[in-house]
Amino acid sequence: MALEATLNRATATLTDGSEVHTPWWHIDSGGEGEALLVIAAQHGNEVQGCEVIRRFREVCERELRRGEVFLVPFANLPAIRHRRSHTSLGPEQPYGDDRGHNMNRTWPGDPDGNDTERVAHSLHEAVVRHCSRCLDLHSWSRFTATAALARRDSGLSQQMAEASAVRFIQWRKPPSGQSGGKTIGALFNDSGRGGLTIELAPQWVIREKEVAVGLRAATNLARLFGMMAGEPEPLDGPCVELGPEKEDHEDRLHELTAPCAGLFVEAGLETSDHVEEGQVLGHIIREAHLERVEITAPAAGWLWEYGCHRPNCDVALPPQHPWADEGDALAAVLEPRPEGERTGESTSA
Amino acid sequence: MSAAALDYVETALHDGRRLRTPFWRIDSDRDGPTLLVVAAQHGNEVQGSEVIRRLAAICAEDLVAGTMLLVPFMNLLAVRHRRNSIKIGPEEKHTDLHKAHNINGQWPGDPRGGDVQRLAYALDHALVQHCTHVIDLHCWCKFWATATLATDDGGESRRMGEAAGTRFIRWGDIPSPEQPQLRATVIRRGGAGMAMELSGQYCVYEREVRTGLQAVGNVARMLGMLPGEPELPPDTGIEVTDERETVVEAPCEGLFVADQMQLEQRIEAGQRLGHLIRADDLSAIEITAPVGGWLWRFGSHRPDPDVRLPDQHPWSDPGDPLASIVST
Repeated sequence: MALEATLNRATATLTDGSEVHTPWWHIDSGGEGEALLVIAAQHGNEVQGCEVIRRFREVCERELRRGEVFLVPFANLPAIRHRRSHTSLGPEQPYGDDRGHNMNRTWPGDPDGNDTERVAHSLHEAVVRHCSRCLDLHSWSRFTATAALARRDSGLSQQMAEASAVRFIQWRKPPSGQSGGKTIGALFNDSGRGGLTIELAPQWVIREKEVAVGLRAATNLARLFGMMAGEPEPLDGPCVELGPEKEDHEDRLHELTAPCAGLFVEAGLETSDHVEEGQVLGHIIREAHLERVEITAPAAGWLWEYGCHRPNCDVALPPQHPWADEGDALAAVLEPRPEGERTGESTSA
Repeated sequence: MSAAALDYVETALHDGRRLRTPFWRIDSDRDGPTLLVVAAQHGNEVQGSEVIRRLAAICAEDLVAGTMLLVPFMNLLAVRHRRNSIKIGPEEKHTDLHKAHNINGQWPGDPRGGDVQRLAYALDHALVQHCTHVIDLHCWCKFWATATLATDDGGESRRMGEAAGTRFIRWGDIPSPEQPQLRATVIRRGGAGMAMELSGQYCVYEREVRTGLQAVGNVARMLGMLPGEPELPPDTGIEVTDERETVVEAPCEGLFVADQMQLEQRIEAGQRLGHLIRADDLSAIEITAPVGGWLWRFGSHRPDPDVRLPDQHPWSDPGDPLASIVST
């Protein structure tokens, strides 16, 4: 018999006395098991995960057999309504100028803190503290491939990343201190619960391809934890790993930069696509003489980055402009590790 | 076969630097029109630059009459600034600063003005004054479909618009003497012209490049500069007017998740366009087409998506446009 999600709201009282009611779904199988949290849009411009969660709810209503799921599609409604990453950001301000309003540095929140800390606290009390596993859905710029971000110090985080069936896994070090605030992933992984972050590319849009990747990842995690029947659906091809140290991947990462100033015209590829050595990735119409300068892949591998871009391309349009200065990033091809080798195997906290 | 000769227009900027704007000149060595095709008057509108690169290769092989003047980066200053116009800053548009530096409001330029007026003046003297026809390639935001912007002069400009063969066309009147746009300047001098808006700024999409190339090639064929007749696909030249347009608005606050559709595609009345995840109760509200027609605009957006990423955000307030359909 199909389960039915219940709609709930976490209420935060803001500094001006107004309230934010964050809606969330709860689905309880009635059986013992893990409590899986899937959360999206901690950053207001990263909304692909919202649609992932809407679809995952339907999957859970049909297929959840053990445990319970907590689904928060709009974690940071004030930032979503502001249509920027944080409520504190103005025109083209980078993420780093958060002034304490980066929700993913505020966990477990603070009922007497700033508005973002208050919203986080309300979610923590109503939802997060009841959960034993967390999938935190983000989005980064269109120029970097969708990736799972996980730690290798925690067996759970590593298992979750490998089960997610996302092409790229970026291994990250555990945070060395609390000066930058706590992420929700750290909140889970530091307490022996499992946390995984997925960056779906890009922001400010919802793309069917990325929603499908996110939905498969969420469903795979539920299967990994025995909450749904069956085994996780595997990736079609190799998983491609990076980090956590540069030396873990620098011999496999081939970064391409503009050899001259001009307009970079992409060859219709997308991040996460496989390319062959010598394949045309695009061309530059050179400013000086208008000739066509072909850009080709230096090795076979997977497109980790693609498209001419500059810093802050996740908050402003000019850094997304295909006009390249000499040395601007155009693409990065990452080779998978040879079979039998693991990235960052020796890294543990 | 006529080789594409590379040349430059030099502009003396106000601080003494010299700007060299590259262009191609292709002569057929036969009588005929002089067609000027320009792109990137606005620095964030660069799809036409690739159209022109491909056009140059075609003309170098096939030009049979007249002369082609091809300028892929008309306003290099703004292209290097990576914004619509020089001087404008983060997310600025429609400001006095923009008006002062928007090159398409400066024609025929001024040799003693600011850098943009000087650039327009140099380009006008070297190229614009010598053309009989002009095609001005622009781009607007990715939520709006490609369109030909044509002038109904009852003559050559009208024929250019009709020959372009894009799905959508918008007709305008003969420009008044005070209109300082490039196309208006050429028409005022007795020439003919049209503009195109390709869909999407800050990017180069293959589909748009092909559309632009077909349109420009069609005009060149109509003018007898390339062999053959214009190739007009079915259902082209659909006139966009307020009376024919039906706007679909967000019925409530929430996240608009668009179905996989393409601008310009045929839409039936009642067809699903996407859904809205409501902010208050997370229910999914299906959004459907109230009329049949052609998809003219698609995706939740607000007034300035061409300069502000937040205005491209799919989060909708009640009344935000989600789609627009042009019925015939």
